[in-house]
Amino acid sequence: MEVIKNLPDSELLDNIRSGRKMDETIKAIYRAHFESLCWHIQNNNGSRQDAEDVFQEVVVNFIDLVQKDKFRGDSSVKTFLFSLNRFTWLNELKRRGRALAREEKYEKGQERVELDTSHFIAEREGKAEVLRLVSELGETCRKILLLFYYENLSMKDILEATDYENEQVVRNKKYKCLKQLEQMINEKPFLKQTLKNLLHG
Amino acid sequence: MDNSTPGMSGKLVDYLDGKLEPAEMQQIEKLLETDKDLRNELEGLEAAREAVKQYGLQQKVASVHQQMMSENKAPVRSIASTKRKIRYAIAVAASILLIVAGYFGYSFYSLSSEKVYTANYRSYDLTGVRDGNTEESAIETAYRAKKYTEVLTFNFDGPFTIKESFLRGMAYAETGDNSNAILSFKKVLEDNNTAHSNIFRHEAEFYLALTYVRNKDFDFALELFKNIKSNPEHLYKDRVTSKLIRQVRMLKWR
Repeated sequence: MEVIKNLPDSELLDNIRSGRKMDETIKAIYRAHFESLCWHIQNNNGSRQDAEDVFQEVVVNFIDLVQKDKFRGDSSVKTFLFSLNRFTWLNELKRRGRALAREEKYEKGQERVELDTSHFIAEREGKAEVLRLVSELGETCRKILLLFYYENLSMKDILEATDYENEQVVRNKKYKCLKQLEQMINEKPFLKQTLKNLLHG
Repeated sequence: MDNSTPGMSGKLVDYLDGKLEPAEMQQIEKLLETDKDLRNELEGLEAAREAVKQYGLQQKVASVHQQMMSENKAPVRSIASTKRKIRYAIAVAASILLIVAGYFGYSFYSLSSEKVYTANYRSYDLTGVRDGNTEESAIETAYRAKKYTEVLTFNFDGPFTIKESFLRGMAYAETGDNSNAILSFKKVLEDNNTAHSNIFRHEAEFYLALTYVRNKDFDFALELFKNIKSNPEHLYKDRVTSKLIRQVRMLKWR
């Protein structure tokens, strides 16, 4: 498999928007930015594990923002990731309730990047709850919905990936699964609001 | 109008998925404008789709994250570590080479014939040295008293004994007269050759070689030093070190 090391911003963004070569593109992001952003957190009261967790969250948020056309491209990907990383880490510090002088200094001492990324960061707890909810779906439902809505596969492709008799059966199953998830979400209004925020910013 | 039928829900999902014909889409959009329940249902479906997308994205990144972390920690790390070690070893070797080169460079350019001469020259001490004559000559007396100028004024035109020639050579050496020192030491060697003797031969050879160095006759000096060093019986063989020969060679190359 081709190993992409340095992907130009334009190509990286095109891949994310189109959903093509996602594995290689995410790897390229890791190779290009992980160590420097990791270093930043480790130098600001974070552990290696903190840095890894934050970076993973940053990549998820970044891809999500790009796919929703919320990344305007006013800055480079590197600068944007740096901002996301900083805000995510600050949020985490606040959550841990140890906004000590060092963190405050870190926050104030940073050169302000002209990016308003704070509103992009969704409520982390709400998002985690969304993920828990989807994982509570049956495996078959989860698989069909992921193949259709995340992998953007056609009913024909999904049929090949499952054991159903024909496309109509898959279509019916997908409908039922989506409705099931909708009902689960409706039972938790705050989750619906989190998802609306994620959708519309 | 009650649109909460399975048929309508199916249509709404198709609308969400973008599978409807333009006319059907317009029909749904028109209904959505007036039907709050239908709007709520669509919002719920959109939220469900968004939840799936969020889950998918999180799973995708988590999967790559695992791969990248193991790539960083396992073999790649060891290769990187090996590379780093090699780099450090090369850096250390280069540093040592630089230091050695610097040392030799400094030695090479700071070296002078005068320095080599001074570092290896020791005044010849006559204490306890006797050539068999019971009477000490005036030259010998003056030399023992370190009156080198006086040594050179006695019996200026000669003839001199071998010992006197050697002491005159030493007196010339002490006063910085290389040419006459060389002539005197050579005279010692010639007289010994003629007499088939070895009186002050080893001393004369060593000090002649040193005087050659100070006089910048490096080839002559090297030949003599090599002869001394290769002769196990030579009295001055230990004074002719490898360092001395190397330094004379360096002086010759400059």
